[in-house]
Amino acid sequence: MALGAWYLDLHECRHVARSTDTHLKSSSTVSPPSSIMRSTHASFTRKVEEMKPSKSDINWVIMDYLVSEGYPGAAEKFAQETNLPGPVDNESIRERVRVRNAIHGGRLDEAIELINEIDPEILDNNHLLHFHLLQLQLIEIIRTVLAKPGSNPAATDFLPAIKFATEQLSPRAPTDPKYQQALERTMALMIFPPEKMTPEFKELLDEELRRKVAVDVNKAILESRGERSEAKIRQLIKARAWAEQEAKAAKVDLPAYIPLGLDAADELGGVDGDAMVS
Amino acid sequence: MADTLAAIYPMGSMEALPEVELEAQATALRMLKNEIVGHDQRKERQVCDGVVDMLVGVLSLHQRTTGSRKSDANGPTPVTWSWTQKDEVRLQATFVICTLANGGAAFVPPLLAAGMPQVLMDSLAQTTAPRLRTATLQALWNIVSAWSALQVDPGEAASTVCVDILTKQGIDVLSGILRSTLSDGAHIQQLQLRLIADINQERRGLSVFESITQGGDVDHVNALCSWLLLLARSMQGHSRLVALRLLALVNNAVDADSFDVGHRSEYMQKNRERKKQIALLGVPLAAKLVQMASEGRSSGSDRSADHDDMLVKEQACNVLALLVRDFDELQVAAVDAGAIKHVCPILKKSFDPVPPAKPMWSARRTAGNADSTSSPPTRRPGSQGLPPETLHAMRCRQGALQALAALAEKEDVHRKAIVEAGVVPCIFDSLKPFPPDYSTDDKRRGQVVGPKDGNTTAVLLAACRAAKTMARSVSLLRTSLIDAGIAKPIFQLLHHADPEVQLAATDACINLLLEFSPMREDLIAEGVVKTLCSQAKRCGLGGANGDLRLRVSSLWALKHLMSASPREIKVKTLEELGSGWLIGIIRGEQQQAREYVSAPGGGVSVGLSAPNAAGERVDLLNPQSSGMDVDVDEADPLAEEDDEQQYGNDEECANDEEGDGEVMFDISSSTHYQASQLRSTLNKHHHPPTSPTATQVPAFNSRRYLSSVRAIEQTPALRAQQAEVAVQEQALDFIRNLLNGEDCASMFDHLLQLIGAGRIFDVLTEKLVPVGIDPATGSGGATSSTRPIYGPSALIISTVNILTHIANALPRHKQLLIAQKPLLKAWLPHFIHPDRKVRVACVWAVNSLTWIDDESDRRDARQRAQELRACGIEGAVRRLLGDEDLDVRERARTGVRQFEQL
Repeated sequence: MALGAWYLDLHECRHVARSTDTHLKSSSTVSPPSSIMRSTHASFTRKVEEMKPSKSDINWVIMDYLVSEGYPGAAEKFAQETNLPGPVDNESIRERVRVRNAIHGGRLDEAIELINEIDPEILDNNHLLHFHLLQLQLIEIIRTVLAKPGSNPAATDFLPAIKFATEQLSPRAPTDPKYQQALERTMALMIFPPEKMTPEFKELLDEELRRKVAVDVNKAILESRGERSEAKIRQLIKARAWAEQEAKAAKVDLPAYIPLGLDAADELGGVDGDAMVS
Repeated sequence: MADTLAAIYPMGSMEALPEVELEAQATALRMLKNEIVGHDQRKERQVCDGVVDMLVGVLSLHQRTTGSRKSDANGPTPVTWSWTQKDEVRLQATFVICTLANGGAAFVPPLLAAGMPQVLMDSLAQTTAPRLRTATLQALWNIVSAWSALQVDPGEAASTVCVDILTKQGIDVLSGILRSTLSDGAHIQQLQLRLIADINQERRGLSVFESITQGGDVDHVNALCSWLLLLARSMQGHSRLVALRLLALVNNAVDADSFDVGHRSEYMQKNRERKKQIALLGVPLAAKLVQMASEGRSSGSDRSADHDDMLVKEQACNVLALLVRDFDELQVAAVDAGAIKHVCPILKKSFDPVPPAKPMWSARRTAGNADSTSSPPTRRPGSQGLPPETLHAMRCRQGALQALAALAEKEDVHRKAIVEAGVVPCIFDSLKPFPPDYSTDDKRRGQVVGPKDGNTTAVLLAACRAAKTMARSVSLLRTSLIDAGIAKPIFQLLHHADPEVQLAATDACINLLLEFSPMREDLIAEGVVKTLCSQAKRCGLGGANGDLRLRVSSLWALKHLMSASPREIKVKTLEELGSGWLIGIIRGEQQQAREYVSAPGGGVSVGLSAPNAAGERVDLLNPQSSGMDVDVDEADPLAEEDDEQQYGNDEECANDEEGDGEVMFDISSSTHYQASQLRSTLNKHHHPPTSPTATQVPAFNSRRYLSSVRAIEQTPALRAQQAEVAVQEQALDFIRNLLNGEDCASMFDHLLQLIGAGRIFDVLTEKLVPVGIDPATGSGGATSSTRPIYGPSALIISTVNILTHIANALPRHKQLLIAQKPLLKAWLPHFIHPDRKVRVACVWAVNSLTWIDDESDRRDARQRAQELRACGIEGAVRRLLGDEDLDVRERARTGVRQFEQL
């Protein structure tokens, strides 16, 4: 209750400040209300400064990021520099890196075999993920045909793609509309020449799709090992965004823009980004 | 694919398979694995091609060759582990098995035909390599869970396949792994723990956990529980559920184990702290998972795995039930956390129709099963079982019913809340089995088994339990339960083919047959008397425990039926049972039930708590009259039924509320009594380290002694004896209720006519004399001990209450009773029985005997009083004027006054 009342006070201060601001235009005296208003922001900044997260906590979060996102080399170096214990199971990180690299490189058969080597349960139980990987593989097969120099590929060039689709993807297709639609779209890649494709088809050829699937695969592997499927820092950022939203909804006086400090632009842009002051 | 198989398993000797060929074998297995992962149709083809035999061959062969470095599963994992090519082959083969078993129920018959569970267990015993161990456990778990799907297939009712991995050896291996797992907490071990917990859940086996908690002291257990709580809180989704399940199993195992009398109050204090911790930290987590399952929310932050959510939905309620069952404070904690609010929608939702999954497509025509009968069983996939959606609904329903049964166990408020949630009709619907002609093969004819078509056996059992605990509320019995028409489906389940269902339905019947139950008439009209009587009589001689459980429950229900029933019903029931049979049952058809007494040195019995009248667990903190008693609570399947007794017996007992335990050794009288559940079997091998006398009592608290007692208790022979005593108790109470009421005199005349006075009183005397002594001569017998050992006090109470009823009949019946000299002699020692309930019953009986019916009876009454004085009973009553129990004192005062008025 006390906290709520405090929020209300701040809100009223702000209101007062706004009305006195207009009044100030005709007077040149230093305005106390304005200083009140500034002090609320200042108190936020001060509070931020007062929060001194321990360096080891921050280092831990960074290490966690490197481990779960799969940067074994960096993790090792970081461990040396910060005197943190190195990642416990470097091999398991490297396994994930190999899978990720294979997906990014379009070598899907290799990726699937690697995943099955880690734990065959992953793809055996997660049909959607398995389907996505197979779909990517089909896309890669089609891509090689499309990429052949020369005129339009002959219909027979696509035979391996059709064979693959028949054996690997089709059995699952009728079980759910989402599989069927995905398969149909992918097959459509064989019909349209790349330059005439609509964006929804182009999307399939975009390598961004590989990255998306790779992230899902990484998560699935982490989960299969009973680990957190996401780096802690991602959760922290989400929690921050949520808290900011809640605070704004409760009309707590906050700077309109609180930089994360991740982008260079943030550093240059108005740290005191309150439009009202200017 | 035949080529691959050939590459994997070349015929001939593999003993000296060179490294190169091993590598080729591993590669071939790897290829096979990649071929079938995620492709169920290919799995089926592989099985038909004989892959199962090949895998068994590979695994058992390499086990033999790697036998030289047979590992010690109990020891710590070696730090340096060299992964050999043979390990690699085994790993890949195990992966293939994992994947095959994931294919579902159809793959269970071929895997079992090949003896795969045993092969895997052997493999588990021989390896400490974490990867291989994890994969092997995973494979076992996959087989067990596929098997459990097969179990619920209504078309496979007669299925005889069973997975029996929890053999003695299996338990040793698993608990060995658990021990090493608990000592180092790497994530891979955590995963193993999860798998083991799951395997155990499927088999409902506590054994593995009992074996780790056994010998551990309360601090150890509390630390383990705290760690599991921490683990549960740090995890998400299904893993969290598994941690909670482990917590429940450990807690239940400890509770069954709780007899450390040495530092009793400290021990109890620690037990209470643990319960409190679980109530505050564990139960709300379980309730939260139930809520998530109920609201269809994903349990993790952003999980991609539907599989995990599905498992949470199916199991959250079960885990909650397991946690709170038998602990009323935890039940309250669960309801406070909103359990009823969230469980009920799950139950309702399980009846919603689900769109059946569309079948997979195949480029090839699926080969007809024309030649399937000719192929060996290891190459023949079985039925796919229920459609997965229906199976899911059944599992959710079963879990929700279990949770409701547990929540409604003790608190009437909870039962009312359940009724208000409107799920009583769902319980009713859950009592209907699938129609007998239903078969899952029907789906080939275009018919699909949906969630509304019936219920699996597991659901039926859970529904019976829910009905049973709900029916403990008298007001519900007379309102919502009768409205829902719950009696009819339960009656029909009495004729179900599965003996477990029969038993559960009988248990549910017990409360429906109570005097004030409006369903009594309906059930009688349906023919419940005949059914129950034939059930009671059906079990064969020397039958298994299960048979006796059905006998106990049936007699229990009939006992309820006897109370305040019209004379015709009583006569008819007695006729149906047969008076000869009844007497035989009370005497104990199997005389070995009397052999247990030969305790060397008159060993002290470590007793179980008797079921008290209110069905409460015995409160160990409240000191008993003698202060030296040893009482133990046991999670015995029979004891579970105890609370039904609260309505059953006649008024003398009905207002006994306070809890008490069996007192086994009464210091003041130096009398030894047997626990009601007959725990006194201490044979020579398990002789307690000390010969207990009053001064030596603290010595018998040693853990070694207790674990030896425990070991004996778990013997099947003792279990059988416990069941035997329970049967006798119910049979005696049947007679007791038969004689209770207005028509007491005419019923007793009826008994006299049927059985004969001599036989009746012989049997009653037999129940009162020390065990092992010939009632006729009053001497000899198996025990030459100077201290007599008496039968369980439950039997003595029942017997004395029958005496009361006889004494309440006509004056001539009183005279008949007083003429039984051996009976009076046998009765006398029980006036100083350490159990106050026995003493009260004794005085009641005397008071009835000295009661003057009318003027014409006065002379006879005086004569009866003289008889009682002559045999010392009057003196015994007078001594009870100074009894520590108020009730006993008051009754004794009345008794003495009646003596003086004569």
